[in-house]
Amino acid sequence: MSGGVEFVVAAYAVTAIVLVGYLVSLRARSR
Amino acid sequence: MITTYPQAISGPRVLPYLAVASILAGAGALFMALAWSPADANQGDLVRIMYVHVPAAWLAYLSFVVVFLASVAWLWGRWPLADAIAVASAEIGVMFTGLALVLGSIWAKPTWGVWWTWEPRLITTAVMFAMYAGYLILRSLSSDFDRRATRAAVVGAIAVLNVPIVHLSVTWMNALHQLPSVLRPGPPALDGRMLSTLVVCVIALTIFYAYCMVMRVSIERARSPRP
Repeated sequence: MSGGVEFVVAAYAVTAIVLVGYLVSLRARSR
Repeated sequence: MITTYPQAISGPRVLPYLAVASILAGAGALFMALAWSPADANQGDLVRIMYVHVPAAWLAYLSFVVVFLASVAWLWGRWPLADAIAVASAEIGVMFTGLALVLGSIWAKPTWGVWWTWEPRLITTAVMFAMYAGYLILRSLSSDFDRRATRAAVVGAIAVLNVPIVHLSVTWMNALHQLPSVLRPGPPALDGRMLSTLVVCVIALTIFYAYCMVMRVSIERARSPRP
């Protein structure tokens, strides 16, 4: 990987947090 | 009428299959996006942000088109399922729009030099985000099922105009954001491996959307005062 890797890592981390966070909220609401 | 959540909502049978498909497609998409797809000649590895930013934006489009169709279905036939589909898709669409905005901001900083700038694609996307967030707030203003669903359906049917406005905003005005590379007249302006990676990422996120939709609709149906 070349320059700007920290931005790529940030983008994928944000995506994972948002998607997993939404799944968790759905799970919580379905109980 | 008082509405309460049930103690447990039994998920539809399709959920486990969608979960497995989503995990498999997500793993494949991640491998292609981070390892298999080549770096860009100009942007280097920064181009890999495209594989999450663009699918998030496209899924926002899809979500709001589904809101439109479900809203029209409610106005047409007063089917409670249509209202449940509309609110589920709106909520997921707001999530994807917010995600696309944040990812675009992360991509803009190293390429444009700023986290945010007042240019057509960004402004129209922010307006779309605000309108659908307003749609969700509107739904909380009335506890009467029919009135709430009808008000929301009118907004949901009109707000879909945001989708073509956002998509075409880069062609109408002098935009900093790049022009459409795939959803445009003529062949896609993308390297073959980048395009196939993008398609797989869109498919993976669409399966995730389907999973969330099934789950969110079942939650809405369970809390709904009408069967």
